[in-house]
Amino acid sequence: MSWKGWCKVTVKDLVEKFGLQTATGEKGLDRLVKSGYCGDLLSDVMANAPESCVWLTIQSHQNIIAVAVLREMACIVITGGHTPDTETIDKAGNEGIPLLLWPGSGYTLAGDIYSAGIK
Amino acid sequence: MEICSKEEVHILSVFETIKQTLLMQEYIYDNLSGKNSSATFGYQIVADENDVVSGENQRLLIGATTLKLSEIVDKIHTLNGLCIASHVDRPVFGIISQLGFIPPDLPLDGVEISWRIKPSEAMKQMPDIKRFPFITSSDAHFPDDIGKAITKFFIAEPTIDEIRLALTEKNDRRTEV
Repeated sequence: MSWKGWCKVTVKDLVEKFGLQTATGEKGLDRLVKSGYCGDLLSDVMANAPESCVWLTIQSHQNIIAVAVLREMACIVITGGHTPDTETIDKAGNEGIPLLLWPGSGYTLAGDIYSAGIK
Repeated sequence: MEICSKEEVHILSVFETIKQTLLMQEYIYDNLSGKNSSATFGYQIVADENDVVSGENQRLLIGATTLKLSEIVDKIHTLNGLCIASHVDRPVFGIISQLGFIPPDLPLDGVEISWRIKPSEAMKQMPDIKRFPFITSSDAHFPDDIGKAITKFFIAEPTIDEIRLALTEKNDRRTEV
């Protein structure tokens, strides 16, 4: 099933469709996802990530939460089986940013999300 | 010693004694995997003060450790060393390029501005670094690069405590770039 033509995809839809694990930030699951971004250099992500995006990264440092808040992202997915630092989980919970986990490579997940219609 | 954290941030550690440095090295080696490929990354020669080669380091020294930045900073301070963020102006492997900004609660002793940019220009581009003492140095990975950039320390004796005083401009100690 593709979301092509849908106007409203939420973080919860992503979680359910792709079987993402939710590390924290459940209260943000209703956020709308309008685009996506991939990157591990936070300076680049801070400068270029679009609003309401799903952000795929292997960076697990707590600074990712500040970056997500700054860019008003929908959620963060930590890919490649990397695990977030404890402080990162705490900060995401406090900010209500959904922090999701994906064991596979960012490449395949980005392709799947894109194919599903989030562009 | 320059250390690469798991976030791929480069950090300089400076110690007074070989014993402290070797303890830090042991900690790093316990958290650094991989074997060097000399064809790809070059030979990692071990030589003494007379340039007599005694062997080759087989570890993948170009790799990143599995240690968090904060863990590395804590360990350096536990061993009474100084901890300086490397080449903060660089587009890769610097703390700002990797993490976007310097984590507010990270107790760095200073930041290193590379030889590629004037300190005043670096501070204009990255105002956040003004809250730390700064040095410039060469980031030498080859012998010929040593001394490409220098920082003068006006201190009573070459000890870590004196360098710390100079970085924080206490007791009439100071630095000059």
